This record gives sequence, structure tokens and C-alpha cells, in this order.
Amino acid sequence: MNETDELSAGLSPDGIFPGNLLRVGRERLGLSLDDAARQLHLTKFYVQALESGDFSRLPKPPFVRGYIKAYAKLLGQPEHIWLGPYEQMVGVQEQPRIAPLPNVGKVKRQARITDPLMRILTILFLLALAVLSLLWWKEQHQFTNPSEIFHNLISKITVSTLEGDKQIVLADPAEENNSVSLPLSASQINASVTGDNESAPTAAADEAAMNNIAPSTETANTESAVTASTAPVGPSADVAIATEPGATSDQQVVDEDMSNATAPAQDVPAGPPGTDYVVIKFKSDCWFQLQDGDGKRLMAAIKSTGDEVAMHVKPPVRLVIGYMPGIESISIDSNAVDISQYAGRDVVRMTLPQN
Amino acid sequence: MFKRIRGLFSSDLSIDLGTANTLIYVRNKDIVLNEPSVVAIRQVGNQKQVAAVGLDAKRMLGRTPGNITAIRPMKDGVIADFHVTEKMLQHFIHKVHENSFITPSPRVLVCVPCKSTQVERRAIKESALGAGAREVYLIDEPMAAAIGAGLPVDEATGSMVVDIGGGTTEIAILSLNGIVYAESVRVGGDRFDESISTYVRRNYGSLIGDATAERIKQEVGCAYPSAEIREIDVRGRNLSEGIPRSFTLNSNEILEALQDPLSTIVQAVKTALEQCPPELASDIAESGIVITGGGALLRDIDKLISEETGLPVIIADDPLTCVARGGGRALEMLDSRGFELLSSE
Repeated sequence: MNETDELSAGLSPDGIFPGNLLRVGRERLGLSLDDAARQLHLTKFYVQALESGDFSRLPKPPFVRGYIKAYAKLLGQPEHIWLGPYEQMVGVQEQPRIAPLPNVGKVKRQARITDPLMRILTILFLLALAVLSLLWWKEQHQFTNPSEIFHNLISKITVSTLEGDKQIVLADPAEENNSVSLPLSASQINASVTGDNESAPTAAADEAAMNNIAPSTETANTESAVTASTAPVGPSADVAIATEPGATSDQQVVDEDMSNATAPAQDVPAGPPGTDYVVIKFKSDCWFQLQDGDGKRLMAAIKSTGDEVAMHVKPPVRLVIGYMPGIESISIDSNAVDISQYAGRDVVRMTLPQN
Repeated sequence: MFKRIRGLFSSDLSIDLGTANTLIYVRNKDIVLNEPSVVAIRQVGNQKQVAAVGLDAKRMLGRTPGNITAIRPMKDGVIADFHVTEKMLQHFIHKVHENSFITPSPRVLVCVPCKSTQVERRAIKESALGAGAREVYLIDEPMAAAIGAGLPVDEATGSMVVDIGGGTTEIAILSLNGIVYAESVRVGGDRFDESISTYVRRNYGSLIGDATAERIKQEVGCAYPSAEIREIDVRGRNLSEGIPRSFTLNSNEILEALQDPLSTIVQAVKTALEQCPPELASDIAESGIVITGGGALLRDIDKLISEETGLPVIIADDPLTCVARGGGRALEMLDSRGFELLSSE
């Protein structure tokens, strides 16, 4: 066993610096403490501290490492034999001191946008954003097929008559399907389009018709609903009704003025089963929105003084009123809703019937 | 504005823009790039194109055809060719961010020789900005070297550091985060190579290239007489015959060849100790001198300085990367401690 092996064997594995072996090595070379200090260009005090393993009396670790290397070189030993235990020892002692500084090289890699995971997450996020945008757009434009788009395009038609312009609003096709069929005569249509209210029988018939078509007026068009062609209408000319087979029964013609006819109705008109009859009267300009129990927005409009909305709605009815002082009354199935509790508030959200 | 956005995708860098090698330390990581500061330029008509940078370009040194020139844009620690340095930095910054989504625009800390002039510092700063850096900070090389070597620069005790680089040797005495004394001599690894080439030409009548001289220095170079003699076989072009000849050099010959640059370094160290305030000189005498830089790898250079000064001399751990690591550490402290450690431009 050579000298290096002997020294290696003598090193304690518990991380305690074997300074005494430095002394043994020095004495084996026949060097005194002074000789060693002179050759190492260190003070005698430092050499003693090294040999006793008392590093508290020595400068900072970078210097001590240098001293140990120089001492090992003097003894003709590989420096790692001595540096290993020293590093272990100092590593334990120095830990609290070096803790505030980041441990370079071992710090967890920062997430970057180029990481595969980040890239996938970014793509997913963009896809989700695109889908949400699409859904929002669809909600804003509730056209599911081209015929609806077409219907929307021609939903409002202004007809010039001798008595002035009349606006004809088409009913929503979805609602048309649910609406009560309303057989109307050509004369009724004519009367309503031309605004001829003189004919009492026609007016009576219209009033009756209004009561019947109440469910179909759930849409934003509480005023008039007409399914008609866009042919110009003269004073005596009939409105050319779209003559698709079976379509005639679904076509509803309601004059603007006729919506008032339903207002005084105190009795709840018959409506589809499982619906409530809601009547809202306005005393000044007010924006409001009405949603049925399925969350479908039935109406969102600005109503003016004297307007009234009456319709059958699937409960619970959700109302958003933009200007509460503009509401005269709200009733559901002829039961008045206490609106005094909302006094002093502008925007009010309510669900009817109230519990 | 765009640089700031691009900065979100970039890492802060500490660059040791050395004459021989450029090292880049990435914040919170480690040294990620260590390449020679060499750029190969290809001439196409009137246009100049970068053919290779770093290691690839170094391989071309002395072996290039007429239309390619391999050049070292840094000389004596400062920029010799501004545009080539800019291109080189740009290449290295891109290489460090090679996986980056968009063009990087990092904050960069560049280590500069302590005695470089304002013009030279400005050139380095502009070069880094031109290479795409968002912000550029400068730090004196000895300060970075001392931090990288783990010296207690922030304490009220004197520390002396000798950074032997490729082009310059920086000698500084530091205390309380400041430089008390600094000197820079234009002697470094390149001068060692040059001295070896001159020695070979004079004594063997043969010409050797820079790469061969560097290999001789690395393999058998030493700074202090030693009982162990090392030898190396070298091939060079014989000046009289004009054909390649082989000969053997030993470490004692190289020691003789290096005497001139080594004595310049030793003299600069002695001057620094002479100029040093007595309290700090006492601290240095007690703890010792720390050597960093590639020159510290020259065999027995610590022994030479130790014998000449009578002080303990310590070679820092991993001396080649001390400056870059120290710069990186300074960069990490930048946010917490501000510009205390940085050099004033």
C-alpha cells in the first residue's frame, strides 16, 4: 500500500476534515511547521489551523481551497483526497450562507413559450377562444339556416299606401310554427294593412284575432305581424299573401293599433298549457328584456309611454327592466306584481312569479 | 416597445466578450456557451457574408481559401472590428435562444476590461444593442472575476484578483463592492502564443501557426522551473528549406519563451501591491492573491507569482468561466441590489 492509499484509508468518511493527516504527511517529509509555512507562503497560524481542521480561523472557502491544494502539492498527494472531505464539511457549514443565492445550474428550468406543453396549451387556449367567439356570434345572430337569414332580411317591409307608410313585420318562423292558426280573410288583411279601422266588423274580427294570436306575439313584435309579399299595395289592393299551401293559416296580420286592443283584457286568455300570461304596462320610455323559463330571450326593446306587452310565457319569467319608474304595472295571470318594492331603483331584475 | 415584448421571451445574459473566447451565462441557469471569438467572413463579389462563427470559424483559422477570412474581432480585450463583433454577438445570442418562438431581445451584461476607454465601452455597448439586446449593462472584468471566484467583495476586506485573459491581464484590488486599484496590461494568452511562435522561429527556423502555438502552450507550457520535463512533437514549415519539418520542444524551452510576457504580468502584480493601501495590502498578504482566466491554467503560474511576491496564490475553481459566472451572479443581484456592482460607462 503506497502513501496515498494509506492517507486515503485514514480519511474519515463522516465528512470531518482529517487535518492530522496533513501533519503526519508533513512530518514524514521531515518538514517543520515553519518550513511548511515558508514554502506555502502562509502564516504558521494558518498551517496550524489547517492541520487542526479549524477553518473558522481561516479566510473564506475559496482561499482555503487554494491552501489545501497547495499543501497537497507540497506533500506530493492528489489534491482531491483533501478537497473532498473539506467540500463536504464546508458544504454543510456554508449552506445557510449560500442559500439566498440561486443554485445556478440546478434551478428548475423556467417555462418558455417554446416548450411543447406551453405550445399545446397555447393552441388549446386559442381554439377555445375561437369556439367561444363562434358561440357568441351565433347567439348574437340567431340564424341557424339560410331561410332564417332570408326571413330576417325581409322581416320588416315598409309598404307605401295612400295613407302613408306602413311597416309590416314578419313573425319569427320558429314562433310561427307554435302560433295559433289564424284564418284571416283578404279583407281583414287589407283593412289592417291600409290602416282602415272604420270597418267595425273587421276591427272586431281583428280584436278576436289578437286574442287568439297572443302566444305568437311572444317575439319582439308585439305590434304587428304580417306575412306578406313585398308587392306594392294600393288603397284598394289586397296584400298579396304568400300562398304556400298551409302557410295561410300561419300568417298573422296584426295592426299596430290592435295591440292596444288586448290591453284591457282582464281575463287571462287561453294560452298553451304550462305558460303564464304576463302583462306589462309602461308609463314612460323604458328598455326591458324578457326571457322565458328556458332562458330564451323573447323580447328586448324600448317601449314608450302607454305601450303594453302581453304574452304567454313559460315560467319562470325573467325580466330585466332598464328604468323601473317607467313601469306602470306588471301582472302575471291577472295577479298584480308589487312593484313598489323596487321604488327608487332604475335597473331591476326580477323573476316571476315571485315566491 | 417590440423589444420589450420580445424581452418576455428572452433570458438575461452575462457575456464575457473575451479576446480568445466568448462565454455566455444565462440567468438562473449556467454557462451555456463557450466558443472562440472567431468569425469567418466570406467575400461574395462586393458583399461580405458570415460563413461561420465560433468553433467552426476557429477550425478555419489559417486554413482559409482566398475568399474566406477568419478573423478575431476582439483585440486586447476591446473591439477591433465593430460590425463583425456585432454579427458574432447576434449569432451567439440567437444560439442561446435557438428554441425561442420569436427573435430574442434579452437584457445583457457585458464584462469589459477595467482600463478600457469610454469609446471602447461605448463600442461594446452599441455592438450588443445592435445584436438585439434590450438593455446593456457593463461590469469591470476583475469585479466579475472576483464575484465568480467567490471572493468576499462586499466585505471591508481587501481581495486581490489577477485575471489572465486572452488579450489582457487585469489586476485589481477590491473592497466593499468597489475597485480600489485596477491595472490592465495588454499581455495574455495571445502574447504567450506569439512568444512561442517567435521562439520556434528563432531557434528552430520554422514557422508554426497560432493553433499549433496554442497547443504547445496547453500541453507543455509552464511558468516555473520544474523537475518534471514534458515534451511535444511539433511540425512547422522550415524557413530555409520551405518544407514542413518535425521537431521536439520541451517545457523548459517554453518556459524560456514565455519569460517576457510572464515577467510583465509579475511586474504588474508587484506594482499593484506597491500602490495598494497598507490595510488592504495586509489583508491580501494574509489571505492571498486569486488568479482567474484562461492564463491561470498555465502550469505553475501560481507558483511563479507566489515566489515572486512571497504571498499565497490561489487558482480559482474553474478559472475560465469565473468572469462569465461572476457577471451572471451580478445580473442576478441587479434587481435586488441595483447598479452598485456595475461599471459606469
